[in-house]
Amino acid sequence: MSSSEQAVRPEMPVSTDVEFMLDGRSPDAVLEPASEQEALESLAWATRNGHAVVPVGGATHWQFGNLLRAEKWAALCTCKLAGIVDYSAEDMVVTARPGTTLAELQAVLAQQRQFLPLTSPLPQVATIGGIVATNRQGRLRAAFGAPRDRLLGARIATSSGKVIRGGGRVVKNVAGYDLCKLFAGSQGTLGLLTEITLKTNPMPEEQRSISFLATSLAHGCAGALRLQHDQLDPAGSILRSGDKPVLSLLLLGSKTSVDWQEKRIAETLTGLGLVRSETGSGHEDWSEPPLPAIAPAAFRLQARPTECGALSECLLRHCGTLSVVPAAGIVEGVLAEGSDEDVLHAVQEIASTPLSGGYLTWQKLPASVKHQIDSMGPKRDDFELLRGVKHTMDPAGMFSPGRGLGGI
Amino acid sequence: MTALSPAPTATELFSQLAEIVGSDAVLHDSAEQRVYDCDAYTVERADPTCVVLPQTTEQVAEIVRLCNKLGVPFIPRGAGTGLAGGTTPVQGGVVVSTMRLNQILKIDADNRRMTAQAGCVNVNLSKAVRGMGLHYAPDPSSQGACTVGGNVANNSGGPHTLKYGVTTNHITGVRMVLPNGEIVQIGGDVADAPGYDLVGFIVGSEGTLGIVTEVTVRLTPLPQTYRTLLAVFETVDDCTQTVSDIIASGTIPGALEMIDQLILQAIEDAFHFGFPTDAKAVLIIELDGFEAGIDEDAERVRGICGKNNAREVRLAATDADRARLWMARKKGIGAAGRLAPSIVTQDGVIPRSKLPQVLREVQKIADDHGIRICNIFHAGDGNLHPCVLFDERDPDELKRVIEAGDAILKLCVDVGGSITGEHGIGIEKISSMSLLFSADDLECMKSLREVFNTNSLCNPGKMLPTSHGCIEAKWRPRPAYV
Repeated sequence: MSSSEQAVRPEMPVSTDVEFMLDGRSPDAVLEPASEQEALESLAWATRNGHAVVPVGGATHWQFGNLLRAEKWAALCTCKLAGIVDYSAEDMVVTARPGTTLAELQAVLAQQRQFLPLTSPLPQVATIGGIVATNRQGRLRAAFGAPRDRLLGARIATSSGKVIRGGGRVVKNVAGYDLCKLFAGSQGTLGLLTEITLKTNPMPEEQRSISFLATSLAHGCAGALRLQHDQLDPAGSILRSGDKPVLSLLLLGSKTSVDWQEKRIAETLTGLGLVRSETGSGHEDWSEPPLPAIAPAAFRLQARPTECGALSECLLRHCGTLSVVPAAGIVEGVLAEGSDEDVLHAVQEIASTPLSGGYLTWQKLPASVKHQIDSMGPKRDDFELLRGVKHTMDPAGMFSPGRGLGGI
Repeated sequence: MTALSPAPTATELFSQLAEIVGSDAVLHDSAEQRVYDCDAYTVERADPTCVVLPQTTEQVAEIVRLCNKLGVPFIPRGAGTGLAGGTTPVQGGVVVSTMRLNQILKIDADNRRMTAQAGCVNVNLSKAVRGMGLHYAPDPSSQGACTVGGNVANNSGGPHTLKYGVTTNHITGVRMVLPNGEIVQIGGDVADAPGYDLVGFIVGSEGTLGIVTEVTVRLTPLPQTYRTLLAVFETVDDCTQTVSDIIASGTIPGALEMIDQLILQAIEDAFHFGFPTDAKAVLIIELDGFEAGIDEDAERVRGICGKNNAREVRLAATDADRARLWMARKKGIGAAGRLAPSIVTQDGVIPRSKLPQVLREVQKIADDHGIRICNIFHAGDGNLHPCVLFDERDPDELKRVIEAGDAILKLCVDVGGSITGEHGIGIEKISSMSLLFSADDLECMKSLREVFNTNSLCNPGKMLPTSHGCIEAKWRPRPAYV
């Protein structure tokens, strides 16, 4: 932005930091509001100056989304809009500003022997606003749900300069439409979350990771699904590709319960030919691994759990690494390095994988490929409703234009 | 509502509906329609123009398109167990009952999904998969009658939602007829569709965004075992403090329900379960999970009860004992009907830690207004159901009941809670929405409704105050089911 604009509103926290590159484009400005009021002022500034805004927290999923359609844009960074607003441990409810990192939240909750069963790459950097806005959940999805399942309430700054409240701070509430749900997974295309209220969980007495080697991804998936069939659901699970795919399981509960679970699960899985391994056992880090910077592309497939084995075997040939959360039907792959042409070819092949239900999204794509592929998958039956929601919440089209499903 | 142009006669409407669903599925005789002039909120009634009973999604779509063409309101309705007037045809029109949309369409036990038509009765979902070790977790007290479509409309709860979550946590997809008659599939059997969470927005929308005809639900494993405790207290304070302490201890029971002395006495008079009628309050505490370790949890809970002066903690020794406890809980409100000619129930929610304070204040409100209030509710969720006992033939008492109800809802909001935890707004609580939401919040909700419901023909007059203010700035008494 020009210095004259800063002179008009010298109090605006605007910088020209270029840390936030998006699909090869630097922002024209970076807005760093430190309060809800400043967030509204930031939006007003962007309106006056014809900038689109792209909310960003820790930028751990910054690459997810379609190409931004805006001539001028500002990164609307929540780094200063951070901190816990209210935490009532006895009610198991916490309210935080969006820029609060997952690690910071977990540290405060841990003092009261509670936690949020949410995982993210780089929890020291990943923000709660970003986690809700992406509605992303991985290894703990089957047992604990997605961020939308923990979301009780939110305050949202909109492009019309208003702050809207949805939900509340109690665990049951059916007063009015559940507005918050629209923001879980909205990818910053509807408004800026300025406060988020979430349900917390008690920290179990015992937390234990156990691992098993499978002969193939399909074998590992079959083992995980047998546990589900036998109602031995672990609290978390992840199956990673390799010469011998490793199935790691997270067990939570009292020590008596975890001992029993471990014994029964080991009996069941070894009965299926999986081999107990010390790798990934004990106190494994259950946060998600970050995408390698050099990875050209990465996808996330959500499918029926029973189809994950076959799908992962089929997709493995395109991938450098692949992981599966079988009980949640999640398959994530990172493509091997290659020329742009090779990557495009692999992406097209993966995108044409027949699915009998489910969704394929691209967590990372080269900008050149984003011109040809919708990162969020094909439009569905409900696309006109999605577009109506976008138009209602953001009639000016200020928030992340183009980045949503179908270029919303 | 859009004016009819030219206005069809009622006979023309009936005949065109009969062409869609057959004449046996159109009810327009006043005696046949009488049951459809309200739901379980019986204080306000309004006659529908007619009632139609479709059997397929396509028939629903044709009905909706016809209503649009004729400018007639249409009102989706399940079993009519709603407690806030959500299905009352306040502007007349066609009540679209889902009672013949009652088929289970698909069970996929391996992926823990079931797709059912909206008119399926809640408990039948669980019955259909019990042999597979699964169930549908949300279990409102009316689960023997209420439909899964109605549960979607109200985001219904129930005793076991403390641990397992409410309806929205168990729905992965809906097929619905939009208010313009278009059929859409939203979500499916795979959760977390990219884009905005429309399924989450539709759940709890009280039938104002269209008519849901099919629902895909998440199935949950049946717990391996249960420990169900009945803790008996000499004071309400000790009982509510126990609730707060259990939650704060990090134990999440499957259910945590409180019943006070007045209701205990009524239950005992009705069913002779052997409850201690001299106790001031009891808690039903149900733990569930793996057999291994559950007795330790039960002992921990027993210790918390003891620390809070529980006079006695009984363990349900058999499945039959457990079933009796739950029957007592689920029949409790019905039994309370013995206590007074009329009962109204509130549905406020409060932070759980505020239970002791709020119940004291509720009692003070009752004393100040010279009325009797009893309590039977989902204590673990902080979801109060104060039942006000009165005689509606006494106008002065009725006035005091109304004032006390207002005071209780305001109290819930003042301590950081909500005006409804599971019953919904319907027509009953429209005037209280402004206690919780600003004009901007309400305007935003209204605009989002118009994305779906462009001409306001779909279930008009519900949930949101009109631009002219609330429909009526008075609190309406109503009967009680919890």
